[in-house]
Amino acid sequence: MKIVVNKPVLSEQQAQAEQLRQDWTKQGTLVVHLVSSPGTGKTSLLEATARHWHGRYRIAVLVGDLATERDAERLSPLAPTQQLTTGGACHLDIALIQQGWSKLPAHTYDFLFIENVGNLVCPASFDLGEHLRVVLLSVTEGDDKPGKYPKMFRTCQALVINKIDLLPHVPFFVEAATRDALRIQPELTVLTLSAWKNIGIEAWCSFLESQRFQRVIPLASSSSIS
Amino acid sequence: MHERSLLMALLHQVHCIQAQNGDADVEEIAVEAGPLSGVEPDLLSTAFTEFTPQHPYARLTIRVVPMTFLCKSCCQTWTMERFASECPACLSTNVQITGGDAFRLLHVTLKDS
Repeated sequence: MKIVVNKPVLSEQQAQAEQLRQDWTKQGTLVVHLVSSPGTGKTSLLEATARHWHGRYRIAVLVGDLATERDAERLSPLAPTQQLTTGGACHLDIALIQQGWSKLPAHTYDFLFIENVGNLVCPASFDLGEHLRVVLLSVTEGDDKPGKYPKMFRTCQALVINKIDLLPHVPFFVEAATRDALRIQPELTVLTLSAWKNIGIEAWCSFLESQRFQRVIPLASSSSIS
Repeated sequence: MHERSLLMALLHQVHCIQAQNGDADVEEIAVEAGPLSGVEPDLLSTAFTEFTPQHPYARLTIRVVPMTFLCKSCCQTWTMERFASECPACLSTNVQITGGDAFRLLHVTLKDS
């Protein structure tokens, strides 16, 4: 007996992610999902972001790693943080996000950041309920990465090029990386910064604020907006 | 290897279908995967062999489909095996992917009792 199904394999997980996205929107929380290869500076960018805002917004972090709680230890002094240890799995999924979210001390945040496991392949396939998916490149990587990982760049709304203070020392061309990324995803917003040297952090934070006002605030219930 | 996670989601759907049909044995699971689906067919097949001892008679059929594109500038449509960001007719980069980025369960064939 042949039973025709014809629906996405991850349809159940996508429905759960969509429900979380709607809940977060109602609460006035912009959810930002950071993806990159290992060592690009996702945690450093979150540290710089929290320091820049310095309590202006209520922020929280869900941070994924294969092992250890090192990233959560770095971020906890700056914002409520839950480490999601995947136990060897190469990506976060919606079940881990639901668990981590339920363990955060409050559910009234202006921004929730999800830092995925360092990996430019696997996380691309999994919707975590985010409003904004941001891919990071650092100038110590090749500027030809976008074309090598089209699935990931295709699913992102913004590209952050980090560690630009090192540009004089490495053969990385920002224009080439930007051109390559825009060929794959013409609607990408591209930002360049150095989280370590605090260059470009103000523009990054302004971008996040404008995204919250565009994507969340018009749809949030009035009691949840600060 | 995220194919394992995708396989678990796939088998969950299959188990639900089995449960709705008297727990009949599975003969075939047919899926469709495009080049931008995030699925590597060989890795999915390997994962299926390793993680499905409960389906000793089942076979996994993977239909690999090409990517399909629409040029939003000149309305040209075309197919390719891999990602293309430029229209072959007018060279515009205003290109939309219309297929080949999905991983879908097409059908399940159960043994007749």
